[in-house]
Amino acid sequence: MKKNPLSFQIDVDKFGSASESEKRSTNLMRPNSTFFMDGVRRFIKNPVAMVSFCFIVILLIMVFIVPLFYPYSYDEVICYRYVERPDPSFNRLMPFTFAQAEKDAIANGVYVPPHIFGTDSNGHDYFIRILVGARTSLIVGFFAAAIVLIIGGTIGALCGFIGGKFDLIVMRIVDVIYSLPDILIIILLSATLSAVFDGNQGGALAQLGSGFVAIFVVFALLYWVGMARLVRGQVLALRKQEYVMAARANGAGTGRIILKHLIPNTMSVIIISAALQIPSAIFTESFLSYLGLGVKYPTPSLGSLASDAQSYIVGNNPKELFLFLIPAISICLIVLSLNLLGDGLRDAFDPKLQK
Amino acid sequence: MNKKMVFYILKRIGLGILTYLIVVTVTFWVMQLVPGGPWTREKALSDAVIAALNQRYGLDQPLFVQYLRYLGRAMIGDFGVSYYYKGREVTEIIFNGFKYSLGIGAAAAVLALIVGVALGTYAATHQNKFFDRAIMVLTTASVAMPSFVTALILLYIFAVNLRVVPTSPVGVDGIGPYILPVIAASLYPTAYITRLVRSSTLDVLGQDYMRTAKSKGLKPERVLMKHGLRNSVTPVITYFGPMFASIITGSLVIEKVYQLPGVGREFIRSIQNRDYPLIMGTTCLLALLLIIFTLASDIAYIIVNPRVDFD
Repeated sequence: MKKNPLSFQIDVDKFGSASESEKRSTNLMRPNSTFFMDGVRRFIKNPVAMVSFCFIVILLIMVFIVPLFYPYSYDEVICYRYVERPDPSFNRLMPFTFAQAEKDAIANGVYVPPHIFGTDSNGHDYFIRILVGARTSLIVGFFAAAIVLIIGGTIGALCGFIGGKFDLIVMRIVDVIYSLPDILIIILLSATLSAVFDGNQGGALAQLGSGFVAIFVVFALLYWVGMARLVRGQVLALRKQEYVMAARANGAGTGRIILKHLIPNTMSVIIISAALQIPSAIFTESFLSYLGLGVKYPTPSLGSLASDAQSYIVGNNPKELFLFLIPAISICLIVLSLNLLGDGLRDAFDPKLQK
Repeated sequence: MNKKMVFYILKRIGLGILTYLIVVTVTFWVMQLVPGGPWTREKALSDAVIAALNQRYGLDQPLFVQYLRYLGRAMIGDFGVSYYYKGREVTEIIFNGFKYSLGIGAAAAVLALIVGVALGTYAATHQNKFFDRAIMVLTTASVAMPSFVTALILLYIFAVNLRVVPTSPVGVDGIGPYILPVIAASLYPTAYITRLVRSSTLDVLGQDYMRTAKSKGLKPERVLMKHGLRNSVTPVITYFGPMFASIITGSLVIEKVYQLPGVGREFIRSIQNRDYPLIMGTTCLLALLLIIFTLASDIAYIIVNPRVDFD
């Protein structure tokens, strides 16, 4: 067909099927990577964070599964298995040693499970108490973080979305709460709650111990403000982003914008910040337990175990020092690995923060 | 000082007063929740005695009247007399304890500042060298240790084993018994300040004015001291409020570990003794101090760093 070079008439020859080499050029060199997958890849490459992550996972498996089939329970006084009356020879056994009655039982061919960390001054098996204590501390941490995440996240998101007078009033309340002295209020509350619980023994909350409840109450009342500020800031910053405007221009509703754009883009920052609340709650719990305002005996927590064993320090009895060192080192390792894990997650999922 | 700055400072002072009012209110009403009241003892008192005591301390008035009275007196720092220590003013008991707590707290703060700034600056100027790595590992580890653990370990090593300092201040003269408490109280703030100064110094070292100062022929130490330090230390000022808070919190534990008669130990005792005026007084006074310190550090920050944004 003869064709005027300046004509806009379509050249049909150009619309044939693609050749093999042309097909190859559209092949993806590697699969599409999402933001999440990128983050996971960065995270796996960070050895410190990976070690912390593995430690936490192993720890979680240990503290939640081992007590299910461990031969001793955390509140069991072992001597009653062998004798009727309290027997002090069962107290403060060294690791992997047995009391006389247990040795006799072994001599008679009975299997006696070993005391991996020995026993404490009340004749409990110490290994299971450490495990259950770590479980208590971790539960406090996770629940406190969850409370902060839910309350702070909701209020912050509402402030960011609604704005105006509502935002102004809530933010002034946040300012005031921010400057309240948290530890003093926790101590005051737990002292009050322990008096309240002494009045009604046996209630579900009283079983937990006043310090426990006080931590949750204070996290719910005071600590949400940091999260609320963070979420509000995130929402305000994202609302101005061009891609949100583009989505709106394309006719997307508020629900779709929240679901498709705001949540995926803020989630990483928010969850990491919540994760960093966990060690701080564990710290607070151990601090309260040391002051005698924490969990109630026989429930152990790492703080209360270390606090109970502190007399061996001043007594300068190096043989029994391990009763203090094991819970103390456990707290340090748990808090350290949670901190490092949080830092690693932040580096991996929030690359904007990196230098 | 421009208008915006004055407005900001006034706003912060207003917020501080409001916070104090809220703390006083919260302590008052929280203490009302306690069942039994302040006269619950091992040995039950007769009704006539309780009525007489209530009248004497004004507890027979309606709650709201009690609250207003309490609020009014709290504003001028009067928290009444202790229920447990007969006839002693709450304020007097607290200030008695403050002698120890404040001395240790101030010494710990100064120690943390000096050591923290020195270590942080050194680490930043020797970035990624062995010493820098060692400091980072140590500070990371020490923020993960609860204060009672470090305090007890120090006590075990230096007082119980090496016997270089006494384990308890009872019957001992001199500063010997206070060395370990100061070190224990300063560990966490030192670690925090070190990390803060390290990162801000790294920031400052990359600034153009540092290169300009160097190109003018100034010696590296002078560049760092004259141009670097002033800018890298400003973030530390904002940490003053939180540092004071952490030292107060730490003092509760440290005074228990080292058996010091400070305000922290008095606070824990007052809770065990159900000494309501002392519990409320200590909470309010510590909160007031905390509010003042945070306020002062915020104001100092905007004076030192006039570039701050007030929105």
